[in-house]
Amino acid sequence: MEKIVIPKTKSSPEIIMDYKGGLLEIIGESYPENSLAFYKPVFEWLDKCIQDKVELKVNFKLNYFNTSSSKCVIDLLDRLDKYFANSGIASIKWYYEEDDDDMMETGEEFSSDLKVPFQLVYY
Amino acid sequence: MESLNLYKQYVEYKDHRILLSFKGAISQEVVTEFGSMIRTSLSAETNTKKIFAVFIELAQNIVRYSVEQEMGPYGNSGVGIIILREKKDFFYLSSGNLVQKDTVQKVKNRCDIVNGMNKEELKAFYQDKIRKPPEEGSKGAGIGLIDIARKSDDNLKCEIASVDDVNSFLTLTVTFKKENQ
Repeated sequence: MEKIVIPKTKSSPEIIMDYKGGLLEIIGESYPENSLAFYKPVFEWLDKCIQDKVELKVNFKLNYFNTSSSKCVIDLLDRLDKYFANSGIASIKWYYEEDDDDMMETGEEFSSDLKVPFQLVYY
Repeated sequence: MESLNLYKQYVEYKDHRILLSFKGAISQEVVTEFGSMIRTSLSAETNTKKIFAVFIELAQNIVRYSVEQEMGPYGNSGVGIIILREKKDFFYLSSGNLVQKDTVQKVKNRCDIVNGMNKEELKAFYQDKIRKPPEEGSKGAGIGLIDIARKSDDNLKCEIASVDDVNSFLTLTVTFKKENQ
């Protein structure tokens, strides 16, 4: 499967989905008009990887996301957690800007019930 | 034709310290543009991120739920009004739009629920709701109001004015304390 890149827009993040490297990256700001429609290809890609038992690295590098995107982010995290619980290999990095306490706390909050390796990284 | 008294408007905007306002059809494009105006005009403020985030939730609520919907070439939009005001110690962000009478009470009830919670309770409520399917009639995550309440520095002010037999005008006002004093 080819590497897929969805370029960023003013209200949606850049998405990189690299099947070979098992890499998913979500970078930028996320408040599209319809979050479910926007994230649909990401869920499909992720489900395919999970089905094929790909070793997954997922990087969230978001500066801002709205509540309907947050639901999608939580859903992605939960799918990765379930994959990990079923002996899938996955790890998550949650990037936040050094002085962005809100994004750091959101990362802490979202990961509090997860078993899958989750690392907070500032940049 | 009665002419528009722009000076009266000017004085009113000045007296109320209205920093930004928009009335009209709000599309995703308008949300994005108005959002960047908020960032520009508040760039010296430390809580710009919070105000921006609440603006997005309020504006997208208008797009999704305003009774007045318009179909444009770039998707649908909802008609409403958004105003950012400044006072000595606070910023106030208000949104207004037409809502059906039977829906408006539900919004008021939700406001009352979140207003009755402290920050810890709101956090728990948010974490509980975010993993549940949204309520019937919701077009988003159904957690916008909770998120707004978490970011607000005072209770959400929810005002309802009757318009006709079918619709009411809903005004939501969110308060932000100035941080760099």
